[in-house]
Amino acid sequence: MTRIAQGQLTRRLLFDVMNNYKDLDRASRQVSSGYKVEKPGDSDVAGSIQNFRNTLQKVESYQKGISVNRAALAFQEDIIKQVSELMGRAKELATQAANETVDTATRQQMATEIYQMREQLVVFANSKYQDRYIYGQADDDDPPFDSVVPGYTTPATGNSSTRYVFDGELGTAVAQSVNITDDISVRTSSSGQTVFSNAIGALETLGRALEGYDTTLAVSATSPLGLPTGAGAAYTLPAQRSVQTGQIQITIDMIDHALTTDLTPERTDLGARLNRLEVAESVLESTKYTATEGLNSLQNADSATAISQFQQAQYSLQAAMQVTSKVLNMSILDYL
Amino acid sequence: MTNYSAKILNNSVGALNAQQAVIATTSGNIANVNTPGYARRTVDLQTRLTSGSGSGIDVGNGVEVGRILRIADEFVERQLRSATTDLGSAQVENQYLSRIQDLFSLTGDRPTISSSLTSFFSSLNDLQGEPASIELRNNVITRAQDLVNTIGDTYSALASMQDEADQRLATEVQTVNSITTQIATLNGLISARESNGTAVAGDERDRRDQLLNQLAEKLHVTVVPGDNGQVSVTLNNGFPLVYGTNSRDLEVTNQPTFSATPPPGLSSQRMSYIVYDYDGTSAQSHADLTPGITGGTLGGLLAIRGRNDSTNTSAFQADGHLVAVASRVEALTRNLLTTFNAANLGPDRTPAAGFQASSADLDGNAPSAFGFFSYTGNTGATATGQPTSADLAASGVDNFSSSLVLSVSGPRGIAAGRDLSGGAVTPVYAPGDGSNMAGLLTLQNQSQSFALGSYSFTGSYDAAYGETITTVGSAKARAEVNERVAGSSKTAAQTRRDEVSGVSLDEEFTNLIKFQKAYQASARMIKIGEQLLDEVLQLL
Repeated sequence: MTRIAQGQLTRRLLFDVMNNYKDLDRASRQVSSGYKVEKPGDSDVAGSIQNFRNTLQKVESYQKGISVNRAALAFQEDIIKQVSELMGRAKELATQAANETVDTATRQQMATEIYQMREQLVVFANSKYQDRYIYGQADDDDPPFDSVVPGYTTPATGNSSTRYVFDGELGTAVAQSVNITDDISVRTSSSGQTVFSNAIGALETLGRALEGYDTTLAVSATSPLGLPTGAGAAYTLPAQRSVQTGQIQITIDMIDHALTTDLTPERTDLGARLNRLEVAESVLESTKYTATEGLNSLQNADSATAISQFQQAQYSLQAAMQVTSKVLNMSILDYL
Repeated sequence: MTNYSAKILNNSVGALNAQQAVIATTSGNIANVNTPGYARRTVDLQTRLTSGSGSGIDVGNGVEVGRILRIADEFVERQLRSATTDLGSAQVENQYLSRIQDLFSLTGDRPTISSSLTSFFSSLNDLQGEPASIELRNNVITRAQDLVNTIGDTYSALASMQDEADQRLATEVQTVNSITTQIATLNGLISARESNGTAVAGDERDRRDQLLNQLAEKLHVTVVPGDNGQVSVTLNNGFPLVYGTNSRDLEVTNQPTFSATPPPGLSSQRMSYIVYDYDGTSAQSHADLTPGITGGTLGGLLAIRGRNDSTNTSAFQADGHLVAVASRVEALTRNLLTTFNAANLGPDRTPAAGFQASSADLDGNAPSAFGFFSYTGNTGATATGQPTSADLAASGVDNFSSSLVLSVSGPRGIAAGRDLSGGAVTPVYAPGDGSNMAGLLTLQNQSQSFALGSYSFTGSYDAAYGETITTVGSAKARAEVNERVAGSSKTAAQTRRDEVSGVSLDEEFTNLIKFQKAYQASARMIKIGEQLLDEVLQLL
């Protein structure tokens, strides 16, 4: 016969009640915290949960970076758009002025307008975003284009003696970039030399020609039509009028060159980079979605399941307690 | 001719005595119904034998008390002790592991090493986009300081848990000593009481069984019954703790005679050893018992704290859960001190003329070898100009995690750019150059090797941290299961013991009624015997 001693009975019942309490504690924590996994020991997929969390943290940071840089690139896109329009107007003026019928005085008036355009262009090239000169690239603490006065020996004063040069300091060739995903980085700066030198040179040459000065051009790989060197004598007018007109026509080619080889590609490139940000953003968005879903399924307690587990734990605890009180109350003494 | 009248009275008196003895025993059982370690007693009643050589028809000589039996089963007791030992170690391990896993929370309710590391690299990426921004540079410093703090806090928490476990060993060993002393004393009492061969020193045995159970909760012991009811108690490796009426006191010391310089612990405090001092005087008197102690609270504490061979020199050569986790934290610290600092220097600017850092801060100064992360007391000396693990080894420091500091001088001191002169005598830097950040950022997802002590892992920071989480998690889950299993097997063992030795009140009450009735019947027999004599007397 199996003997059942009182101690045995109480111990067993207490053990069961304790285990039920443990289950209830776990179930109630799930309901109140919303997590079914809070600590590494709660699950054998703790490593994956941590990975999803890392991914989400990174995605959040990349998304923040993307929205900051999207604004910066949009700003640059706006600049290039305005510069292109400016160059278009300059080209119209140059085409009018190239007409032999336009007299010297009118050409000089037109020069004033062209110089204004050049100043605007330099303002664009030296524009700041977040207090940094964006077209200086890594050398972004001072304006990339400096004026040289007197830039031309002839004449000694006035607009046509001012020359703008790219400062070419170290760092101007080093692009800034930022990672937009773990593996993709995007360039956020452009070289002022590549984008603006030919355009500024063209307007400068045009202005000087309209005022009546020749400009010596030095040809380089990036500007096959040449950039002003700072030399150039005054035309003898009206004798050299046809030479002046020829120079004005050259500047039209220079403007076209700046538009087609510098400004338009830059605009296209900016568009492409903005597009990459969009693509990256949507990739990040779907990564975020997947990671959130993954995290949800691995870590978050499904409230319906959690609550029903809680109720189940509650019932079994109540049952265990009832059984305990009933059994422990039984004594042969009651019948003696 | 037999005198039956006398027999009736004799038998009845004997029976009264015997029933009373049973009722007294029952009262003892009922009194001890809740006494731990108590084994119920039963009275062995037997028929009284005829004395002398009487002849005639034998009507029986009544009853007498043979022996008082203590109902206990040595095998069941042994099972209970073994289950108690398992539960002792499982409870301690589970307790500590749940504190360890708290350091690696998965809910994002507090910063962990992983979240700090990710934030830190994000801040580097932000700075890469706008390298001259003081605001972003400040952000990098804040994030780096957070990382240093999280690593320091995590490591210190592990180290202080180790110290605590070490101190608990001393307390537990004192308890063990007091238990073994009492067992030895009880051995003496039991052998004295039981020397006549029939008496059972039940109370002493109850007490001793209870003490053996308490001892088993502390560590794994083997109990061997010997002569005269004595037991000898030995450790796993055969070292006797109790033999006869003698017991041996264990000691806990961090200055064992077998090693002049025992290895440090995680906190640089020396590891303790459990030893037996043979004579207390000679230079080599300590016997190291640490390897022989397994199971129970002591075994659990040792499994958590780790055992380190006294000839080792580093805390990370030890085994144990705390050391395993701390090794992973320390390996990350060492990676930051060497690999990250080296990446912070950029590639060699002048390969022909010894190593020169190519990176520079906002003021054009190249960082020093330990220019981003350093540790308190660092001399900054390197063999090659770049920080290496050999430089760390040469420093003589055992753990760098507790003394890790940020060594960047300020926001302007972050070396975001690189030399643009192409190796000229005087390097040139541009303020908006973030190319060195790009170099640091490649580390984030690059596979690297982390190794320290018995830990070795190759993968990215995230993967390494994931492995740490998994290690902690699986150890904790295992401990949890172990505790549950040990808990229920102890309950089962106790149930089996109760089944044999436990007092059942129902049984006792039933006995009470049975023997009370028998007592009444015997008393009535005396009355009848008296009446029989009266009948005869009235004839006169």
